[in-house]
Amino acid sequence: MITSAKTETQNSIKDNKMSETYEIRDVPESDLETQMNILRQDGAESVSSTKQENGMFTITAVYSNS
Amino acid sequence: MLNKFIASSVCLVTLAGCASWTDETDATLAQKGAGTTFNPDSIKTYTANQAKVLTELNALTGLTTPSWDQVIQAGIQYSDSRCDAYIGALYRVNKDLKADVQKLNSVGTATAALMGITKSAATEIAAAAVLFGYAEESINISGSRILFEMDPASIRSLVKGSQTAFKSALEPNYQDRTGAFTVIREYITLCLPSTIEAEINNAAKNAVQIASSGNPAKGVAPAVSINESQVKAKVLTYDADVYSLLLKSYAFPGGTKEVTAHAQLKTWMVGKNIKVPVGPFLMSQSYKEQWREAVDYLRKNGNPKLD
Repeated sequence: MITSAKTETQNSIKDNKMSETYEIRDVPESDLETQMNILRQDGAESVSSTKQENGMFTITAVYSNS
Repeated sequence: MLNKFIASSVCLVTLAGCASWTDETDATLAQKGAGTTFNPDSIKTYTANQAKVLTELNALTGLTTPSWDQVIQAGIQYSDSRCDAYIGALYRVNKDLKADVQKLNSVGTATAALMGITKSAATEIAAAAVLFGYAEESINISGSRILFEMDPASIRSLVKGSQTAFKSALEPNYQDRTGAFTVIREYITLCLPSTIEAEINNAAKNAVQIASSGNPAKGVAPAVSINESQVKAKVLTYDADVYSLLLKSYAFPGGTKEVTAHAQLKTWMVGKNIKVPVGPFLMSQSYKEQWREAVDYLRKNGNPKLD
């Protein structure tokens, strides 16, 4: 699992040139899970979220261009 | 809970400060190497130290008998606080270096003091890695000048990206202390100066240059730059209205992609020269007008689901 985490980190850097990253800011907590699921269903390679200082969330979605 | 976190963090910081490696010089380590024999006393000390760290992590969870996954989360929380302190120090040094650049030309001691602040913060995060079992000999916290001079926001973004990727790859159900500590140790190393430098180097090595032709008639030379799309996220602001909700329920009914509807919407977007994927399109306030247009188009093309 640790290897897979490291590999994902390394791959996300290595494959950067093949990917596009989208940051969707100011997502309310009530909508967060639904939107993250839509992005995964849409084909995003990785989807994550971070909490902003104002209590809203930023979703980061990485799509492959290949 | 907050008080508990602060108290436990202080305890962990104190333990981190006791790590023996901080007393060892680079030159000595380089001479001795990592060693090939086990020292029983050293193992005893190491085991006792791990037990103390575990006690503090248990306290940090606020639970009587936390699971190993909860211990991992506490360790990650502790690591995040140390990492934030380190990057905060980089911010201060970067700001002060820029503000005092002229004075520093004549006084080297101020520079040394600023570097000292950052190295001190780096020492804490590195010592924390040692607490969780990282090999002392393999940590280098010296940090090149690039970490002090580079935009700290870029460093923060890089480290946060690594941490986010790590967390998304982390699976539950760790069963023992060894596994839990290994995870925390790996996570902490993402914020070590040597790791950050390595990732900066990786990003530089994988950079793809794009070139635009010059204009001989006007005397304009060709220009080469890094492709921004590979290093910069497209930032969108979230919004939703009745049209975006209709489109989401059309292309992703019940949260699952409906292939035909998705393809139909994508085809319309391509026709409108909208180059983002469907998901971000449906979430960005920049496309509010286009949401309504898309619904109108799809309604006219026989989609009763959108009425």
